[in-house]
Amino acid sequence: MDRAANPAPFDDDLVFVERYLAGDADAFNTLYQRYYDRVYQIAAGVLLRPDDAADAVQEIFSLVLRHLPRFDRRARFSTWLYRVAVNRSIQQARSLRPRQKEEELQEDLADRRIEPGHSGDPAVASAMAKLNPDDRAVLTLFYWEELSLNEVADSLSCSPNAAKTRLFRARERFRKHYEEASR
Amino acid sequence: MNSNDELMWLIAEEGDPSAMDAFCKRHPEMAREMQRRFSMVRDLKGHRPASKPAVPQFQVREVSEPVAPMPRWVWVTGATAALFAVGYASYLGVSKSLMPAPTKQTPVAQQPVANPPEPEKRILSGNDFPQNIVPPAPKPEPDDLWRKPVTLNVDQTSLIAVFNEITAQTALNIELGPNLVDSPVSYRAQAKPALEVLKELGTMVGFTVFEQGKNSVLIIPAVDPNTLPPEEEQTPEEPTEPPIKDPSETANGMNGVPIPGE
Repeated sequence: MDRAANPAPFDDDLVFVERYLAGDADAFNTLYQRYYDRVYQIAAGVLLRPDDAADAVQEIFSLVLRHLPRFDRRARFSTWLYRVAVNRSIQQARSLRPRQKEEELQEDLADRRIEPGHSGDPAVASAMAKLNPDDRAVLTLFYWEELSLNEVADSLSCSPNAAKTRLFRARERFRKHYEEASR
Repeated sequence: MNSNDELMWLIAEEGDPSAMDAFCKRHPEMAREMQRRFSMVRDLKGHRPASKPAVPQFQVREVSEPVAPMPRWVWVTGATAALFAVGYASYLGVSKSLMPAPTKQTPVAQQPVANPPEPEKRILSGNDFPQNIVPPAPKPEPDDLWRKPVTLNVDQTSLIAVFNEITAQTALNIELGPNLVDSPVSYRAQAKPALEVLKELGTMVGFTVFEQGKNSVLIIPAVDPNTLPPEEEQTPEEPTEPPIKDPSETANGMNGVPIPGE
């Protein structure tokens, strides 16, 4: 996705939204198939564990389905979907294992409990495990989903300047942990 | 964040090796940092989870949603109100603790207290009065109970009852000497010192009042040696010959008990 703040093209997702609201159940399934992978990436980046991410994706789309009638069409469907995904993933990360020790997370990551084909850089995994869910969400949106700062701001429900600040801080914290793990 | 710092991040995020080489040549002192950031961003991007080979079927789930947080203005208003309430409660508590305790209102005694409190003594000086005004004479402080005023209006009342009334009004302890005869008395006095009242009664009835400290008097029946019969002057141990009676002496009535009031 281009990071530049280009004028948004026609959002063809809205077609499926309107079809679903008109009674076409398959229309929502189309949206689900279209965005499952991206929502999963966001959930996995925040929650770290694939099983947790898979459960979170089902819950995210359940929330989207419930609130679809109240979707504000002034924003793009994908922006709204990412916002729900980020919020729900952060909420899940805070509630699932609130007192999980850092060592346990790193042990899970060291045991390769990750998706097949993953590069599995231990230093990155260790640094990500040491970050809080909010920092992981910012880095996931910017570096994995390659969203622009404006899009990151929309997903985080904040201003672009606030998104820039959060990205800067998350990146610095990640770098500190990454350099420690790389030694 | 300076421009070079921001530029390094931009180059690292773009992932363009040629751009990195150009930056390192231009800023050799930051080449190491540039390479470090380049590697870090590359590794972070490469850590992106792989796509799932198959999208699982969508299963609707009942998801509990958290309560929407209250707007900040609600928190601010609530916190302000709470602080105000705490401050006002503290103010009330402090003001009440500083207020003097209410004085206990004791009922007016029907009878005088045995030892009434002494009035506050204060020596008046010339500064207490305006100039050219003669300060009044200091009033006697009735620290002696026999100086306390007595009001009596009795008619043919037992002398002992009169003594009891004086004690009730002044708390003065009246001790009775031996051989005092309880006789009816009629007497009137208005706010007269107790000692004066007793002396007047003593003159009437025939007793003498002796002061015993501030709070007690002794009543001794008055004995006028001149009123005693001659035989009472003789001591019983000394047998004497009966005197020759002078017929002229018996006529003056000096052989009996003195007559009250005379």
